[in-house]
Amino acid sequence: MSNEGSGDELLGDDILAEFRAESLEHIGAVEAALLELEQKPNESGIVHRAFRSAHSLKGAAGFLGRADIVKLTHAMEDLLDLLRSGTVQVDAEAMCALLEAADHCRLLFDRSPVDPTDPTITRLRETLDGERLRLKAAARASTEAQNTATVEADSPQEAEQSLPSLPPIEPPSAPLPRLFEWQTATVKPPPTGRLKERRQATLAEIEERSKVVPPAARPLPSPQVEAATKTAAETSEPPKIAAEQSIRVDVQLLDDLMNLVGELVVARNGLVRSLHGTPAELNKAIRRVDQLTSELQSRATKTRMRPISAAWGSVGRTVRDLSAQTGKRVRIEMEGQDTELDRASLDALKDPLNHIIRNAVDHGIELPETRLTAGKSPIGLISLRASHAGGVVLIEVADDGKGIDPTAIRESAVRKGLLSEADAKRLSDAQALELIFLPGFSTAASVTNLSGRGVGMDVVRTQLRGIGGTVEVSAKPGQGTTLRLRLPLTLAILPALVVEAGEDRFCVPQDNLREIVDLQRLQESAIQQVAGARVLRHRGALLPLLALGPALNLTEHIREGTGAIVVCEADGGRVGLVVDDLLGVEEIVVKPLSPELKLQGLWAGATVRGDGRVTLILDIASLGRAARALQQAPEEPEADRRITERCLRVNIEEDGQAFIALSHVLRCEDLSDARVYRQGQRQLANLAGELVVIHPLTAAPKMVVFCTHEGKKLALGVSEVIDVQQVERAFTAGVGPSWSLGTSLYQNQPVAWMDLHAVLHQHAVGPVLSTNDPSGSTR
Amino acid sequence: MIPSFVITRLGDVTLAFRLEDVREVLLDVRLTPIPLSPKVLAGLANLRGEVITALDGATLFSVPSRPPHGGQAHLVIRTEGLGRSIVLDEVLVVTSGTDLELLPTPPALPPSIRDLCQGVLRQKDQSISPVIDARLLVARIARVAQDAPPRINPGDWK
Repeated sequence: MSNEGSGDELLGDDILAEFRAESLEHIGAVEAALLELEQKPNESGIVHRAFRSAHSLKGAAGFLGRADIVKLTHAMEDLLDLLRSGTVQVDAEAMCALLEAADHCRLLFDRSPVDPTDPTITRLRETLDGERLRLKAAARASTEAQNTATVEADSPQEAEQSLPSLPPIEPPSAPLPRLFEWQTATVKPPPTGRLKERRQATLAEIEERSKVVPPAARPLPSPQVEAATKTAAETSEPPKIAAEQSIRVDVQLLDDLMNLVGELVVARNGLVRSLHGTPAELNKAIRRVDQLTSELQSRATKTRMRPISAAWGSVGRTVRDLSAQTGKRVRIEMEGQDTELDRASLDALKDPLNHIIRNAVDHGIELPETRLTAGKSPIGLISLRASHAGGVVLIEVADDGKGIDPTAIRESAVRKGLLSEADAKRLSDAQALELIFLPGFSTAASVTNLSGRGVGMDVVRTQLRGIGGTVEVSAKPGQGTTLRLRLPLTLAILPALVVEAGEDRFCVPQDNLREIVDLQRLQESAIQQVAGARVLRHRGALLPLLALGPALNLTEHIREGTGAIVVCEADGGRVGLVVDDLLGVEEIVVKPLSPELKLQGLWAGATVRGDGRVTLILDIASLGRAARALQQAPEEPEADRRITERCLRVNIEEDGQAFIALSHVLRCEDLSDARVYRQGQRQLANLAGELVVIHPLTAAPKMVVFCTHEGKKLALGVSEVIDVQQVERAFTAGVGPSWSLGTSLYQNQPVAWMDLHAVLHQHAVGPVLSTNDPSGSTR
Repeated sequence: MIPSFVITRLGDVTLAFRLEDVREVLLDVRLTPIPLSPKVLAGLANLRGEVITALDGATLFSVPSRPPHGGQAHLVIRTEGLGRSIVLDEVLVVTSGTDLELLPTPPALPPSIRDLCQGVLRQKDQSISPVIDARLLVARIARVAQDAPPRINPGDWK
């Protein structure tokens, strides 16, 4: 930067980067405040907040010697000041001008300084001119007043008498009308004839007009967003910032820290493996190192975590702008904004989320009149929910729009030549919906007309897959669409099964792992030849098999007595990998691969294991597709498909065994290890700094199972945690304890299915627990 | 100013690399093979916790290798923040100074080397070494990988 007064030459890169980051935060804060102000135009606290952020932004820009940004933010300040004093009203024009200026400030920070008299800056400053906005609003108001209350009196006295009896115009409590409605509303000429008739007509006119809000009378004729986000920002006060508890840390430093921790984990793995036969003391010391390493890993991972609200922050603005363009009215609901995930996952989530939100507004939500005809509220709803479950982050984006018609999807796919008519007919509705993720399926116009969805959905899936995530869609025509995203909590360290094929070893991420089948115990008839390829008849379905050794052209394969089938799942498809041996589950540190290897599409990354050798991580989604393409294994008949679920099996002294769906389980802890607090009759447990109510299911619980349900966290007090099992979700409803959905038989024993909803609502307060029970083992 | 160069040997050819492109030289490297990859991708190596891709110099430059007894050398280069190593027969010397002369690439060089060259280096003893451009080399690898997508082998097993 060479502009006069630029401080860049005098400032170090670090300081510049910090100021830039801070300035972008200020812009974000201005934008958030403006969006909120649009919804609550009468709350002066929000204007104050916007003003403060704009002022800080100006200060930062001044420090950096950015005269261009200073000039623009100064004009923003001027307008905000007039809004604050009430000289100018909060209306759509003022908000648009301020938001456009904020956008331009963001752009300017990424560019070299421009002259403050730059045409764009000059134009934006003109749009921000408070006097102009005030006069415009006043002119609108006077036009409205003339149009709505012109009464031709036969005499001034008569007119005076008649006017006060007019009913007052109440602003409607219903949502505001669309922008174009009040802009294009025409006013009929005043009636002629006798005053009485004219008065009647005027009354009718006023009544009619009171349904349409005049811009001057009712501030905020904003575009059609009802961004009534149920966020923490319900009050006009800014969120308190715990300045003492947070510091800025260079991202590179965090990455370095994470790399070091990763190495430590690898070294620990090597150490643990060489434990056998060492003296007891050494054994103990090594165990301690093991424990410490795990803790350090957990803390270091935490430094990379950020709340998902960082990615959701832009949703309000996107929806606002799209609603304005499309003439739709949309309300946003958010739940679980505090859910944390890895910074890299968060960055990778932004683009897919943007695609999904755009699709939802553009193609999902209908126009208000269409919605009214369909018996829906004229305001569409987009809800975002996030929660943690079993080491992954679940994100749900749902809209109550027109949904997707599976028949239209089938027809479109056939027309595009993506599959034959016969194949399309064979697809179930759920499978048909999956077609929207095919590359080339969606070319904007046709999909918009057909299904109302699909733009860039292949991009969404590809990008999420790039960070080990998945996306599923479900939709009901006329009722809406829901997309469920599953992202790994952290990308840095993950548990993986190490398998051997030939002389080589590979890692299978545990998240993809569903089951392991011992080849030796398998009946010969279980493996069948279908269409010239092998499939495994397994749990009522046909599972395509891929022998890893031959598939990857490795030298040896399937040794006597050690082979296994590793059942994996990715992108909703399953594959059985036939491997020579299983070497156990390890925590691995995922290392990136060079682009030429990523092009191969077979590897999700690599890792360095305890012996110092590099091991490749298999990309299960790609292998699954390859297996299906090679073998063209027929889809299992719908009737044979059974829903199975990974469940935590626990023991409850008084009621026997119970299954808890693993997707709801966060952590298990020995009660004596858990930090438990008493609150009256209630017992609270500390889950990573958050207090969670303990629901004791037995009189003497020894373990606490932390769960999440409907975005709420709860802790179940149980007697024992037994194991994790993949079980068929089938039970006899109504049989079992009050907290259960029903009971099924497992290994000839009745096992109840935990109903977390019932627990949450029936066991709000339970008996006081004894926290000093030393029995039980730490998990 | 003439920069410093690392002079290496591959078969009967000497190749020069700009010192600024070279991160380090590794000997006795254990490689993990990459299944179904083009021959030029020799394998993966662990460089103090970083996974780097080893490129087979003999395939890359179409020069038959003549490794010494102690095994081959890995010249670790770094471009765009990513490390890769080139497997060569040996690293001879690091040279710098005014005795060096950077000349245009002669057309007589074989295309497999010429296309990756940014000139030739003439040293004091009049020996000539093509100067390899690390960025061109990486671009060639990307093309090779793109042109040879992996084919999963249905194979046979009992």
